[in-house]
Amino acid sequence: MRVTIEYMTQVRRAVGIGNETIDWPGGTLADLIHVVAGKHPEAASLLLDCAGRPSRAMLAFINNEPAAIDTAILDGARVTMMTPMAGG
Amino acid sequence: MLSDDELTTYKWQIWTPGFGVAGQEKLKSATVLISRIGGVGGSLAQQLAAAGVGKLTLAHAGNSRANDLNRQILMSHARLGQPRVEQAADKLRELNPRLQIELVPENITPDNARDLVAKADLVASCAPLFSERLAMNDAAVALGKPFVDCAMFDMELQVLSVMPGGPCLRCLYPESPAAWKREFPVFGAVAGAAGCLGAVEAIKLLAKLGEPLTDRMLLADLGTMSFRRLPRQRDPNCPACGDAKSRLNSSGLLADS
Repeated sequence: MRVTIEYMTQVRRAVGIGNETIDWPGGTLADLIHVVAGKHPEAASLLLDCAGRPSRAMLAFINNEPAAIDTAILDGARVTMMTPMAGG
Repeated sequence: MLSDDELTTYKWQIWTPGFGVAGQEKLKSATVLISRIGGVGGSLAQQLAAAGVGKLTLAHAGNSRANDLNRQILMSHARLGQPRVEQAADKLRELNPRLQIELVPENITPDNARDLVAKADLVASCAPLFSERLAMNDAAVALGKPFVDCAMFDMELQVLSVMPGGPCLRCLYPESPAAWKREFPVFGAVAGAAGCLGAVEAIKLLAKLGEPLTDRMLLADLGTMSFRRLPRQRDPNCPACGDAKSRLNSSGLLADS
C-alpha cells in the first residue's frame, strides 16, 4: 500500500522534508506514526510520548479530516502530521 | 451611538455588507482581552484598534528587547527597554484616540486568566507558550466567552475560534507539546498575517458577520501560500469543555479528583 505523508510545523523541521510517499504493509494511523518515528528518529520525540505511544499533543489528519488513532489508512491516503503552533 | 467623527472614520468598513452601522456599534461596545502584544498580538491589537473596538485589555509582561523589533510592530527602537504594554498603548492611541486601554503588565496564568477573561467580551490568544493559550482557553470555556487563537511557527500559521458549546483548543490538543521551545523561527510578516487573520475572526464574532472558524482550523503555509480549513470536532472527554467528570477544576485538577 502507498501513503503520502505531509509534514508540517516542528515535524517538518525535524524530518527535513515537506512530504514523502512510502510503501508500507498498511494499518492504522497509530501504526503509521510508529513507522514514521522509526524512519525519522529525529522526529520521534514529537510523534511519540515517553511511553512510546502516539503523542496526544500531535495532530494528524487523513485526507484533511481529523482521525482517531485507530483509524485504518486506505491505499493512496494523504496523512498530515504536525505539532500545534504557539508562536506569537 | 456613533459620533460624526466615528461615522467618518469607519465609513469604508461600514459599507461592508452585513456589517453597517449596527456592526460598528457592536465593535464600539466591545472589550477584547489580548494575551501578549508581540508579533501576532501586536498586529491583532492594531487592527482591532483601527476597526474601532471600544476597549482593549493588553496583557504582556516585560520590557522590549532589540530582537523583538523584527515583528513586534507596536514597539519602537527609541523605547527599547521600556514596558511593552506602555509602548503598545501609546502606539494604539496614536492610531485611535477614542480607544480605551487597560494595561496588564503580566502574562496570562491559570491564576489571573479567569478574572481577566470575565471582564472581556472576547479573548484573543497570541502567546508564545501553550500553557498561556490553554489557560485562556479554559477560562473562556468556563465563562462562555468567545475565544480566538492565532499562532505561527516558521512560515506556517494557524487560526481558530471557539464559541460556547463548540470544540475548544483542548479538544484539538489536550496538553502542551513537550518539545515546544519559547524561541522559534519567525518573520514579522508571518506573525502579522496570523494576527490580522485573528483580528478578522474577532470582528466577525463580535459583529456576527460571515462564517467564523468555530468548527474549523485555518492552516496556512506561507512558504507555498497554501491555505486550507481543517475540521475540528468536540471531544466529549475534553478536560475543558467535555463531560463534567473529565473537566479540570479551577486548580487545574480533574473535577472528580
